[in-house]
Amino acid sequence: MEPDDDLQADWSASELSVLRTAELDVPPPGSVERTLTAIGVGATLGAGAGLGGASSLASVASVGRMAHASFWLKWLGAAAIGGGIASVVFLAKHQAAPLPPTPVASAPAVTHVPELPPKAPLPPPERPALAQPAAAPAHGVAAARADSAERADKPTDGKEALAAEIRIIDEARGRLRQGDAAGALEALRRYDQLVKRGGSMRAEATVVRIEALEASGDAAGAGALADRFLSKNPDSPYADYVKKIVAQAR
Amino acid sequence: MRSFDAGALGNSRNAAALTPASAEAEPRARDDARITAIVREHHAFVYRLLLRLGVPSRSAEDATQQVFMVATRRVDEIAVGSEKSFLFGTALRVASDERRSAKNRELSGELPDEADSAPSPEENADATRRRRILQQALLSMPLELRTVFVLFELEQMTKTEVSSLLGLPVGTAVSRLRRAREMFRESLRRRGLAEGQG
Repeated sequence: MEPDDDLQADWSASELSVLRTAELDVPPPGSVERTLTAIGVGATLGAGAGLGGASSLASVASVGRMAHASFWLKWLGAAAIGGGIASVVFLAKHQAAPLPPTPVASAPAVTHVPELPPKAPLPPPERPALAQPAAAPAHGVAAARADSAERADKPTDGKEALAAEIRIIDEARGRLRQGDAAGALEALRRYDQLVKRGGSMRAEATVVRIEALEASGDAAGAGALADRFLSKNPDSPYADYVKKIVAQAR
Repeated sequence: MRSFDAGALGNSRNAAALTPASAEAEPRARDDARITAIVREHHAFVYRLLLRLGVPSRSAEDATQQVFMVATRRVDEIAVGSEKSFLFGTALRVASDERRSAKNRELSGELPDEADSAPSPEENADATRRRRILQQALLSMPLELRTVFVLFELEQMTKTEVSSLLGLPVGTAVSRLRRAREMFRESLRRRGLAEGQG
């Protein structure tokens, strides 16, 4: 049995077709090597590896390697000026002998973590056909209009309102974790002021309130609220959690 | 930077092995091996995550490198087994900074990211259009819901993994997932992709 059977969504074909396109989001070729170079552990890669299309951060690492080379040049110059033949011999030997390979260079291929059990694996997405760069899109104007309409249609206010609800609930939960039940209840009072009797995250807020009441010593209040919550939302994802809180309180 | 101990000149190999340089090199090599493994294992996850957290595609690779630079600096603090969690938290912060920078660039009159705001030459390709719809649907959600949706629906994590990664009770993660799904569906409906429509 899949662990998340209860969460399987009945996506429609069109919704699935949109979700499938997530598989197209892959890093560009060479991105891993450029990242290793940028963080300074990719210097042992083959010459030029990742540098062709290196980003600005990878360039910083290249500068770092150049600085390393200039360090040796400075030593060579100092040795020549000073006539320190022994030093030259040492440096020549040191440069001729390659640095011992670090485990990075010979690190075995990384063992991947075990694959998660697939939940309704998505069929492969349709790859977008490559268009000729010079070809003007046949429906460019229409597409641009649609895009503009989509952007205008963005529910920014709704999104912000929802984000505000979540922020307050998270604040309440954070206070609870710190043992500040009164602070949690105060945050939840602000939640009530914000959304009045509604609220998209009302169930989550109620559960945190039950916890906060219980933590503040108001077991009766917590139990009464929990009973009301469970009678209204018997199939809530919180149902088991709420029952557990109430059992602890009673 | 690598260094060497001049006092080791002419001494035995054993003596050289005791120099500060050698003593320093070994942990460094171990760290390099570990960070290399971390990059190879989680690079694609971090890249995808940043895109879905609203980082423009033109900045996604640099932002990915920033995440791993932070990990490199703090590799000693990352407990074995919690690498993904660390990278996730770092990616959230990097994405937030990146979105702020992008907004500032826009306010200062710079053109927004063409690839993310205007139809590309491939826009006519159906999959590309759907991909944009996905991104727009994700961006229409508050970050707290989007992260749950992305981790569960797109990264195929279990609810337990998602709640653990986000530090939320399982019920909260599930509740947010349900709300995020509603928003996703609503977003598709607004864009003319109602159920049954292709």
